[in-house]
Amino acid sequence: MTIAAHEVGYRAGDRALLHEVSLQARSGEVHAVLGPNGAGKSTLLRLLAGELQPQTGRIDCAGRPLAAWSARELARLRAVLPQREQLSFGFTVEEVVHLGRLPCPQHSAQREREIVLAALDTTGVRHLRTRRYPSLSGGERARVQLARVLAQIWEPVALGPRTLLLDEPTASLDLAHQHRCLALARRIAAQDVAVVVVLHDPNLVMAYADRVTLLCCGETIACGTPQEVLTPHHLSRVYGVEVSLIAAETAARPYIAVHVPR
Amino acid sequence: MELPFLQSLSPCSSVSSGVNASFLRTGAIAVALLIVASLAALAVGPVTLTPAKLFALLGIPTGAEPAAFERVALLQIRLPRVLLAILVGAALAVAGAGMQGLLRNPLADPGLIGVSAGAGLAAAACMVLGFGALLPVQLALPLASFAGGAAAAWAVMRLSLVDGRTRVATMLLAGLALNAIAGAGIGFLSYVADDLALRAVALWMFGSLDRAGLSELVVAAPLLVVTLVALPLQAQALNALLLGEAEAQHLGVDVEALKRRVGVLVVLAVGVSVALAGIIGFVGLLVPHLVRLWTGPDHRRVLPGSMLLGALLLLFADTLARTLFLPAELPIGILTALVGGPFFIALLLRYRDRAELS
Repeated sequence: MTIAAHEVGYRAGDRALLHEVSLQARSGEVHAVLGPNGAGKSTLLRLLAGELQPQTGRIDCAGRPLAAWSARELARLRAVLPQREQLSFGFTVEEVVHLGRLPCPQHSAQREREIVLAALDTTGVRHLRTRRYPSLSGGERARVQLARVLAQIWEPVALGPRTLLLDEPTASLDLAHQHRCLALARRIAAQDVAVVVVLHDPNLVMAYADRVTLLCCGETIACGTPQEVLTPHHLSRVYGVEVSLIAAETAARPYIAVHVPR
Repeated sequence: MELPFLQSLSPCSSVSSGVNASFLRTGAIAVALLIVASLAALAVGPVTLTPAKLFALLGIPTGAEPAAFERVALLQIRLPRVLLAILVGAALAVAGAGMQGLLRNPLADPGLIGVSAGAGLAAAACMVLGFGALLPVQLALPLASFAGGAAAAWAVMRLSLVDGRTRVATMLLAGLALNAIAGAGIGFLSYVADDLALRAVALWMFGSLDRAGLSELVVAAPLLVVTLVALPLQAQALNALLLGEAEAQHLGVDVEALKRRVGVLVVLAVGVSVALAGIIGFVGLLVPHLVRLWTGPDHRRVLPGSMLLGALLLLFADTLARTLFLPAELPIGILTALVGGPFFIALLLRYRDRAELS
């Protein structure tokens, strides 16, 4: 397991946000976390990222408990894309992505710049590289932040397998960019990275995830491949709406359609 | 507390490395300017020194024969004062830049977290209530104001500590409250003070380097140099912090340790500066701003740039302050505010329409 949560629990005050939730993500896989609002998806991701400490259970990263790694080692092993960016200072786009290289052993300035530009290329924002970050649109910012976290784990490290944690990366993206973003997540996973991604759209999970953990009210409802987990039974139980699966000739996996009353 | 953002104004080149050739070139020009300005500042005053005499006094043989009173004026009065103006200017500006980075707010100022006000209150108490009688005044006043500044900063930091983390919004509010309390204290002390003490307090509040002598230099210089050296070492961590606290942590920065370190260095710089020179406004706020317009927000350029510009600005202001109305002296805080305020408004007017500002 590249990153794993073992029966973690987290309470805020007297409210249990997560209760005995487990998740195992392997290198090479895109592992989605799905669930309705308030299910505990972001809390689980923040526990995996080490932003919050679980009150019960344990998080392991690259075979060791999270606390056994130094902050810098951890920064070289895993990158985290936050749900909301809050950078208001006028760095250029290139400078923002360059910040992602902070924990990495530095190559020559030439090579560092190549990595930054390649990361910008990967998310399709190289043409923005001289723009000031605060002047970008929400979608552009999201792609710049994605490039930043990619630059952080651009190269394999001897410490162990790498992890990428994405908290709703598609939230501010248009239809095409949502699909590009998740196709990119698959390409990154293919380079022996474990990708854990919080998503809101079951169709995106169905199309792109290797495995999915379905959360509701801080508990695991189901875990497995999208076809195993995203059944009409599970989805209607979790979301409270009637759904059916529709096979399409143009896609390998079925679509999930919500029943809308006439 | 939402404040407007002014930082992203410059049409500056896209450099990803911290320090490039053009930055070094401009830096070298600024250093040269600082040296020339220092020499000019050393030459002017009630006793004007010719260049030949100035260099002779500084140990470069020029054939000129300076008189003994000229030697005293230069080495015991002017030289410590010029050096202290440079050090205090650099320290106030770099402390402002560090504070703005720490709070991720380009309009933050060390005055906000109560350091200046705490130091001012302690100094006023010293002058009005006469604690100064226990120690020689050039020692008692700086000690009191440094202690006051540190106590205020400690209280603010302590109040803003929630579950082991420093909350920035709470810190600003606690600073606001502390400033009000200190202001009330200073007001009360002014009310009960006799005329002589009242005048001393008023002058202190405006800020002036006229107390700066050789003994002050010996005490303050090493402390200020600590900040000037140590703060720029935090530049990359402060850059990461601009992304957000969690983001900086994910980039391997120990955020809590960084906050403590930068906080202590800022208090040190501002406490020592207020102790020496009273409250000199605008340097900590304005200088990092101007530097950011020119370099962008990268702290590897903003921190050294702020030091240079802060040193230049305060040296210039102090030289004006002590020569403009000879033999009287203008409080330097009045000058920095008089120049800084309109300049700041001009900046606002010029850049407020930029898309980056909204």
